[in-house]
Amino acid sequence: MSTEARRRLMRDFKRLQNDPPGGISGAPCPDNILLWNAVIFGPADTPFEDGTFKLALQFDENYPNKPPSVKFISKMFHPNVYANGELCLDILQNRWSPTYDVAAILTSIQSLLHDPNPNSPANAEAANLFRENRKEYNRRVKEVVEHSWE
Amino acid sequence: MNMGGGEDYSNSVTSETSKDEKSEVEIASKEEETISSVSGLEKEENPTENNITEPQNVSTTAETAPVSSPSVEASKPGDTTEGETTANAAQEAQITSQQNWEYEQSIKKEVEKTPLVCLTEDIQKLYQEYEQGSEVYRQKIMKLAERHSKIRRCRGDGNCFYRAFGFAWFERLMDSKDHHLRQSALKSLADTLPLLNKAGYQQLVYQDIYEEQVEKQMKAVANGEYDEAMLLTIFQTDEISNYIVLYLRLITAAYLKLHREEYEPFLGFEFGMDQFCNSSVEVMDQEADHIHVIALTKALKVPVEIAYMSGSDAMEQVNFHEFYPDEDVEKGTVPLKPLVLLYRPGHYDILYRRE
Repeated sequence: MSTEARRRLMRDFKRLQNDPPGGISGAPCPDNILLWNAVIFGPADTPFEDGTFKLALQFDENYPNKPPSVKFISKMFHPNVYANGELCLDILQNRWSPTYDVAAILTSIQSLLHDPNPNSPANAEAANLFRENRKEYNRRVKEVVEHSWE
Repeated sequence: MNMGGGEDYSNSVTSETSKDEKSEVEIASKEEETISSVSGLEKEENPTENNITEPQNVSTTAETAPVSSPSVEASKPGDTTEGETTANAAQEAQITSQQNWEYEQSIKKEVEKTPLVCLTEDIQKLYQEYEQGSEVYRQKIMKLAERHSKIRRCRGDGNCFYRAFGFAWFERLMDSKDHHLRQSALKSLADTLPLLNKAGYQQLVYQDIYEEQVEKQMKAVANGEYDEAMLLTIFQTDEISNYIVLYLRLITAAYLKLHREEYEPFLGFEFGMDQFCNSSVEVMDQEADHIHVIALTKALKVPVEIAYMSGSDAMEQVNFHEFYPDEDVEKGTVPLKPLVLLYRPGHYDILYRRE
């Protein structure tokens, strides 16, 4: 069993506590450092504003050589998020670099809320509305924002 | 180099690693590999294609990637390379990238049957691989065999240059028994910490890997604690081996970033050095090119010679490319005999010179 992944995750955690990027928070589960819960606040000036979106990050012993699997626990309506909450984000797949830490992952997801990429849709409906009917898109996003407070 | 016969080691290695399931499988597949002689090496990434029944389930990417259309990409802000296709093209790409991904996974599974680093084999084994194949290659291997006696294969997982470099370097220090050589290697290694810091990497990215893995292993080598079987075990153990690879990748990237004026012109127009390092150096499984080799050899002051074997060049000669760090770096450092690697398109292995 690799202690390296755990050691690194503790460092990630310390960094997140001492130098937290705005609008995100995260911590490992008390009994399992490989499983993290995180919250991303919807960025201002986006339809996601005021949302508090919960995520789960599952790491394995290969971290940081391999990325964690990340999914939204809160209901999400976004062109790049699948119905089951999993994300379509390059840095969590083929563009992963071991130099990313948890703060960097969460920040990237935050900016994905800011700038959806409708050209590689994980949720076709959200992608279509984003492109063609922004008003309806915003309305649907508002729903998940309100849902996120529950 | 006094390496000893392959078979003698396999027993001791197996017992060393029997706690670790994964290594056991690797050892098993290695033993099979020595038996399976002629496998088509045209597909250069994977020398052992014969053992299809091996029960491996090591592919971690499979676990982390979403189930459907995993390689469709959402771009980061400022990342324009992938995000410009039309919706239709994206739909099509979705299918092909899914297939592509499955294909990659199947290759990966095949590749994982080779141990990360193998036992040495007689250079004649290499010749036998091409008995059904290219005449040019056979001629070149004959030529190579005049001065080289053995080859040590590394897994073709995209990390082979770094792993081959790491193993050959550690092994060279282990065999030399020269105190000064070992100390100066440790110093070169220690000098990489300020390098990484200067290049802007967060301490959390490299500090522990350096202290707990790389430096620790090299100190053990320098103290004469390892024999070949032990070193092989270290390099066949995923967690240790991959952290050494990662550290070498970080050093390579740091060197390139700190010498960007010199090396940026060799990159494509669309790439800055930071982006290049981020996508092609730091990332595991990304293959190394000329520029990576130059950077790593200079950063660690380790000379390397690489025998380039391609099917295109003149028949009876093998081109050696020499990567020697600047000679004026430090007077008084003991010169290390160059590490010798074999390059076949897309893949690196380790070579051993005849004494």
